[in-house]
Amino acid sequence: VDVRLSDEQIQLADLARRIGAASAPASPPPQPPGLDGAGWAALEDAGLTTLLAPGPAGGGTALDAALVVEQLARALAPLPYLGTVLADRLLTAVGSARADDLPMAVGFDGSLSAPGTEVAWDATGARGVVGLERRGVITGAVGETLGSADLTREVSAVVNRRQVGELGDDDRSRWLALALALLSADLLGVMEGALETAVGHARERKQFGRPVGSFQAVQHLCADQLVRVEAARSVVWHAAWAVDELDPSDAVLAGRVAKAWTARAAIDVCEAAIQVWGGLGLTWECAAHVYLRRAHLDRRTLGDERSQLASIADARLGAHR
Amino acid sequence: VNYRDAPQEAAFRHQLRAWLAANAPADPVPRGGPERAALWRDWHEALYRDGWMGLSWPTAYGGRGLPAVYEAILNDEVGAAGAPPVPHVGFLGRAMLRFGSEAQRREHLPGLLSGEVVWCQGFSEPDAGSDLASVRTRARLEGDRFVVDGQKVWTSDAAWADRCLLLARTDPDAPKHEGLSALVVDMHASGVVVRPIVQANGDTEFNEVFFDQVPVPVSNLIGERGEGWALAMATVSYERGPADVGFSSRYTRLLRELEDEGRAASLDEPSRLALAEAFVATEVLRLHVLRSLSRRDDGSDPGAEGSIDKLLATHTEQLLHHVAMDQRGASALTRSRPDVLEDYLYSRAASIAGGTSQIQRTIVAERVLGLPRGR
Repeated sequence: VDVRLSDEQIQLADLARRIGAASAPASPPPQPPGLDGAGWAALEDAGLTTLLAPGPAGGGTALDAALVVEQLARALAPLPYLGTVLADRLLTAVGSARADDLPMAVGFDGSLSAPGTEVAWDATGARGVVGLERRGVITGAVGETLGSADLTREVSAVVNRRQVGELGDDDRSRWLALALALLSADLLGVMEGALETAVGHARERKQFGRPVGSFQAVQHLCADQLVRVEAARSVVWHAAWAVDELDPSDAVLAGRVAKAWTARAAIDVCEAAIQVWGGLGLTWECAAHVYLRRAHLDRRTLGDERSQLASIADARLGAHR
Repeated sequence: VNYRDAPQEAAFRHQLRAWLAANAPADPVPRGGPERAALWRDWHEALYRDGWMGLSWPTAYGGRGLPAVYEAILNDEVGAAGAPPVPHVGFLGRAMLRFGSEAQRREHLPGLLSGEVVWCQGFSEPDAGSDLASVRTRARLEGDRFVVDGQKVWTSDAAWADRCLLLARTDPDAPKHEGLSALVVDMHASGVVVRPIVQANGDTEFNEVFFDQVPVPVSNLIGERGEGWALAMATVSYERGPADVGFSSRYTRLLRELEDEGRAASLDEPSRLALAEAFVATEVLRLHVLRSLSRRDDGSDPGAEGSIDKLLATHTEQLLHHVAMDQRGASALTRSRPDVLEDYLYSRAASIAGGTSQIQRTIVAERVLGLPRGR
């Protein structure tokens, strides 16, 4: 047991942090987001868009991808990295991945809570969408925008569906585990970013002649959020590691544990961040709502905490009688 | 990052599991009195005899010199076996390791580890709780000895302790954090009186301890004179580690019991969700502790980040006991399962003992998040 990042992973996260910071949108982000070509090219040049591809171009772990996802989310980067990684992984599993098709949106069902092909998720600049219908891998084209609540991530309709292959049960579970781990990593980045910007404000903003961050009521609110963030990091690392290292069903359980924690924690942290910002937190110009919006889309996608807990109960206690 | 046991870790786990199957006491830990002390002593002795105490302590003082993550493996297995927690001597030992002289380490650490000498921690006082630095117990230097006068409170296991690691004021004129020193006091000396406190759950783990002109040789000073505050802070940073004090094993054990009961019963959906939430909280804590212990591989102290671990452990413990109370329903409120209510009441100590949750949050805010100091 050794739960420490390698030097390479620390460098990878730092690289992703710099790409994310360069791509960070003005506050508020322009709508619709539009593809940040320079940011996407930076990800491609660094080899991050094919990080999980088999062979010499890729060879990265799910944890590597999670570190990149986290750092991009932390900066609120509007880059469609998460959708692309998940879509590419489906195509790779059925042998029809092509690097020049990227970026790519990933499909979910209309409720967003399950895999499917009704919604193209992370559709900014996407050249197509890939989703799962039961075991079938389906490609499609990106249709009209659905008007995403998340100002950094487009969701759109799907048109021209076509089945390109089928996944075995294990591959399907592995993919689900990866999706849960990476969505949890995005939530980790979102809450981290929301907290650090709010804490920065609490250091500067003065009332009663003192920084508001010197008041215990504000300090304790912030401290509770850091506990949520650091616990999230601990559980996200494990879920991502599990994708490559555990049996598929255990990997899915690890993913559900991570998603159950991060889905709730991210909303709590982002709402607390608005509280720390005070009146400014209610304005369109303040990034606090941009974090909160991204947290809500991530939370719903593949199931919120309640839905994860119901599945966890089935796994631990047996199906409901 | 690797959550899998390395070959040596796997072998260790395997041996430990077999040992627990043969040696773990079947009966629950008695609530108090001599029976509690006796079980504790026997369990401690058995663990020590077969090499399960002081896993991450240096070998020179009777430990095994293993990396800190072995403490997590120990907690996992002890909890899964339903055995009593491993006696939490670790935090006092760390104080001795860090601040004691070579002679003091050699004198005190083996007995502490083996359980042959029972120790208690004399920090809190009636007027020095969260504000620990305002300790008033005096240690006056008279020739080659200190004379101790004062009172301690909430002192765990003092009723059968042989020695006390005492935080006392040696320089009343110095600023309050600088006038403190740590002394080893013989609990059998004349002038030491212990009065057990009956707790809300009926336990008598905590005590009041009175010191009336108790002589203590100068050679019992641990660290430098005036270094008491630094020693106390290093000690409590270990006391806040869920694996360091053996609390993780209690959570693993309770979760396992609740899940076993839950499988046997037909729980309604809200109860199933509550139990799943308890599983998530226990997993999150387990994984977080593994990360914290890995970070300590270089021998560093838990530091201010340890307060995050304690807040998380408190959340988990109190959630688990809420779920236990709900799941066990009426039996928790009648004579049929008195232990359920007693353990629930004890869980309220989690957010008070070892520094309240409010103190932990202030530490996190000021020393981890870097917010400006408040009052």
